[in-house]
Amino acid sequence: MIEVRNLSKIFRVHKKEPGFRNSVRSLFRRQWHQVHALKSVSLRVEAGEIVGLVGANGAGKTTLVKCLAGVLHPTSGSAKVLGFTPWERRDEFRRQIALIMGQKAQMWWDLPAADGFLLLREIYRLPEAEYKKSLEELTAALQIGDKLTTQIRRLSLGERMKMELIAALLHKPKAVFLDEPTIGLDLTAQRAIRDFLLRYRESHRPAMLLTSHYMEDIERLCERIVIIREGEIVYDGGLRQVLDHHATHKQITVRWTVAEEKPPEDLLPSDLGEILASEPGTLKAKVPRRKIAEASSWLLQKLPVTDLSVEEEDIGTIIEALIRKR
Amino acid sequence: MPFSLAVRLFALEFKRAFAYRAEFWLGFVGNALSQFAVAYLLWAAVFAGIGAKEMNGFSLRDLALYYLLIPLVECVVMGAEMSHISDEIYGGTLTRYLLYPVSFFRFKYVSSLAQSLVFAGQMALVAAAFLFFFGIPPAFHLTGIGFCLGALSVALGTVLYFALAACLEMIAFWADNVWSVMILNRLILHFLGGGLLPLVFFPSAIQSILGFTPFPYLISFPLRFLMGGMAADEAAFGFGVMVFWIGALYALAFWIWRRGSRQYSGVGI
Repeated sequence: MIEVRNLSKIFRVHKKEPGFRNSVRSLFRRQWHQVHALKSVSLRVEAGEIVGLVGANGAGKTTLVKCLAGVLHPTSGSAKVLGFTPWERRDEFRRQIALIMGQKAQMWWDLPAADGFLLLREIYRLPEAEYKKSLEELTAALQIGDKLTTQIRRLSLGERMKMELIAALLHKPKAVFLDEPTIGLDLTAQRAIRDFLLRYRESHRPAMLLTSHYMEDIERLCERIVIIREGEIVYDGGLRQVLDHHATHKQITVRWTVAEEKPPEDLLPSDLGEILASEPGTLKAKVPRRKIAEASSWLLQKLPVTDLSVEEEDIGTIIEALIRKR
Repeated sequence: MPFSLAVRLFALEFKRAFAYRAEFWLGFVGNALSQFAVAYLLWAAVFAGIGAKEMNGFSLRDLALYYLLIPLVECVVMGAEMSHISDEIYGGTLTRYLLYPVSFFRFKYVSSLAQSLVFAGQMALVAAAFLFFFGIPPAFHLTGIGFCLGALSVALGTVLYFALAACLEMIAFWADNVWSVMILNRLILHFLGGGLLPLVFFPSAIQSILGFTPFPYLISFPLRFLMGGMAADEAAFGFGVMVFWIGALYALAFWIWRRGSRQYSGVGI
């Protein structure tokens, strides 16, 4: 459904030094530098799949999404979305996709959402009955029916985002690109949008590519993630498999009866793990995955343990490490 | 573009114009009355100064009518908004038009035409007030055929101006800001189109050269149909030049669009 092969995008950016003298100089002589936003990116997304695109700011996530929605022309490489080359911008292609950008409103700012939706109905040439049904379903699912006649600029950020979602999904696209759809929203609005996206996926089975800085978005919505770092894909696979491939340690927490005493610093030999925190009666240690049994047995022998738990590292921490790794 | 979409766009632009009532009425007073008053007072002083009854075939009442009709024609042909394409490129809102399965140029043209008609409605009120107070001037010779040809020239003028403005505004694909270019463009068009003073006041050599450029066909040409008309061969030549420039500028606009949209970054990486 979405297939990307060796996609690269280079931006030519004007370098602007600070200060008046440099501003005057730039009138006569401009300095440019190249930004390699995407470096030979390849991936595939199937129908009904939500793939999370994760990366730091400027990693190239938005560039990739914009290329696949046909907004940007890549420098090299190829992509097919629903069988079309996106940047050729065929009407047939544009009728079947949607791009939702959390940071950029696409609805008409000074019109009520209802008017914007009517305009979209004409743009996508939706039959009246289909349009009404679609609008009713979407407004009911997002619980925003009472705000349809309010000007977009007078809505709260969460309400605006819901309207953006409705505008993007009215024509039932088969490929949906979501660029940080929950950015800046409060927890309730974030949860509402996540729940809505999951229900939408179940009922319409589009291919969805989602970028987000919120780990909860990724964990709730995506079974598969693509980690992008400085324009290159460094991981493409199941969310849970990130642990298998990249989680090198687990965390052991032990509690014991002699609560008043702090355990000695050298309680755990350094080759078995690293003590993260110790207080009277409790100890937390980071232990290599292959030495979990050995470290647990060592602690059980040394301390009058009443409770011992072994936990995976936080997935967000692992992904963050992968994003930042140089 | 489907007709129903054009109708919807018209309806929305009217709604938007009427939503901002202060802007509507201030625009009415500011644009129509002030332009007319300045031109009328200036010419009245000139006529009084030299003691003439007529200059280049224009009496003071004819000139009053001319300056009354200028904003009417100019606002329909050139539209109310000056940078509706460059702002979309600069601000990154062009993105939505790249996603919609409609032609960007047609979409913007229809929106701009709808805005122009709202603006023209204001100007028509001024014209009606003028005719009510001063009566119909002798220079106003509107016949049925004159009205039809005038309407056709205004309609072609809107297409011609849109193509010309689109070419200039798309410089925004490469330059950050084209506001100054658009201001300059308006000033040049206003002057060479006969907005500042009727083209008959220009030296005849310059009038001949201007006849081959698109400028007189934006303001002066449609106005002449409302003020006595012109010879059939002159009208045919004028329409021919308009059609030529429309074709040439649209070809140029599409060429710039193909290259410019490859440069477009939609702001941010």
